[in-house]
Amino acid sequence: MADRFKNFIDGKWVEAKSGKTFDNRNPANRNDLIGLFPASGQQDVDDAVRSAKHAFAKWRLVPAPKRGEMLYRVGELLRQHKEEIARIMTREMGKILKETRGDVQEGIDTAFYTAGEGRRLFGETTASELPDKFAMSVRAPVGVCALITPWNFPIAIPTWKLFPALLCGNTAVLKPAEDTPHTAVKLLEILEEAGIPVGVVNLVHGRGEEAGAALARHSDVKLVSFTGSAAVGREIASACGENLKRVSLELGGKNAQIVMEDADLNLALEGALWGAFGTTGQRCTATSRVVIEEAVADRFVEMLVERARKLRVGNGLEPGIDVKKCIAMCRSVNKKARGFSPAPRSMKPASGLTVTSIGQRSSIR
Amino acid sequence: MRIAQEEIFGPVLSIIEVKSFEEAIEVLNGTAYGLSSSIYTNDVARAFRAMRDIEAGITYVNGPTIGAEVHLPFGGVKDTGNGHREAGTTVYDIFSEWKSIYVDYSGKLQKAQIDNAE
Repeated sequence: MADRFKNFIDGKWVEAKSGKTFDNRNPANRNDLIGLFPASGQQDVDDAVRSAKHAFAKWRLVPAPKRGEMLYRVGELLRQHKEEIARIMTREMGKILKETRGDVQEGIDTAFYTAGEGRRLFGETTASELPDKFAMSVRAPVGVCALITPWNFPIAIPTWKLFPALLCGNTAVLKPAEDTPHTAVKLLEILEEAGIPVGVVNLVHGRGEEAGAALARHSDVKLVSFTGSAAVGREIASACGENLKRVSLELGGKNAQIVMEDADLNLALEGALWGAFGTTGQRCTATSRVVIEEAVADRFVEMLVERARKLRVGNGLEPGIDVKKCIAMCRSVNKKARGFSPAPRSMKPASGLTVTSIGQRSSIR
Repeated sequence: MRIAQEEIFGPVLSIIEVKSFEEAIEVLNGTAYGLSSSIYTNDVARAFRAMRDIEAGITYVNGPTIGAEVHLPFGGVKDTGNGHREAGTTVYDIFSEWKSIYVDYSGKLQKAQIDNAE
């Protein structure tokens, strides 16, 4: 019997109203069923937003330094559970343990950094042009924030949205990627243990087209923060634009590393290997292009190919693995690749270029 | 060519040869996106020109395109986003509204731009 995981709404762990679920499997071993998670819809989103809206009335009045202290406690608990969370993350999205530990560390860093901001969160004072008049500006919360996050950094990205949102006095509904719901459950357990009040953070699982879209369009959601594909980002921006809703988007990249002929080639090689193949190239900042001066190109390609051939691809939980299996491939095999798919589904090698092996040469310009 | 333009989100690296620093910058900037970037050089003038001319939210000198820290702004230009920056102190501009407040303790109606006009 598979484990059943739940949404977290108004301080309670609940199933989707429809009772529907989706599978979450280990990308390095498809027979490893992590559990069943709620396939949430409009009703579940409505409940979560209502809870967040209700909690906002009190949370916005908690002094920012106090909110910061709660986030400090969250940071301590993340540190205490770092290894456990890293293993949960590797099991459900494949990144090697060294990298999932780094992902959790980013959440810890953000918690402590944000906690300190509770005693700053500065506004401005300035002189009035009139006598006996005082002028200042202060930061005020926005309201209920929808946080829609991807699978590649299941702790770092949700926390770098959530912690500043909470510090400012907002409440939130988190809709994590359907590939990494277990890590999100663990994060919510920690927030609950740290004493974040009921309703301040709600968790709704499910597909982007259903739970995510319902959340982005909800009239009581005042801000949408989304990290993911450019195509989905445009849809969200359109939906938010119609309702004059604040939206923050972090979308695609085609990041390049320039290598000049005067560069330290060994240093540039280490950078390219880590930038392109670390995290299986599945970071938004991953190196996708090396732009190199002709004089050193042949030598650099030779060095790169030699090192790339030695990279070990496999299950991220096993020692000695450099590169996890590509989550997009697993999604395709599992027929899970849909609207939020990280890879362009229609992607085929362009004419005249076959991407068949490491070190294939082609005229690209 | 699509492989040099579209985000693949996987372990695929294109190598593009160029004849000069200027061409390298042009090629780097020649996509719809502008998130992260990097230059490896031991020429300090080229490093500073790259920092100025690269169209990206993040630029590394003699480091790879990955490795952001939580206390500096994170985000990009062009199709990478809509102008916001997460992390750092800039994230607070996403998650808060600015409210301007005036307190008049003169005990009378004072008109800005009018009462103190020359």
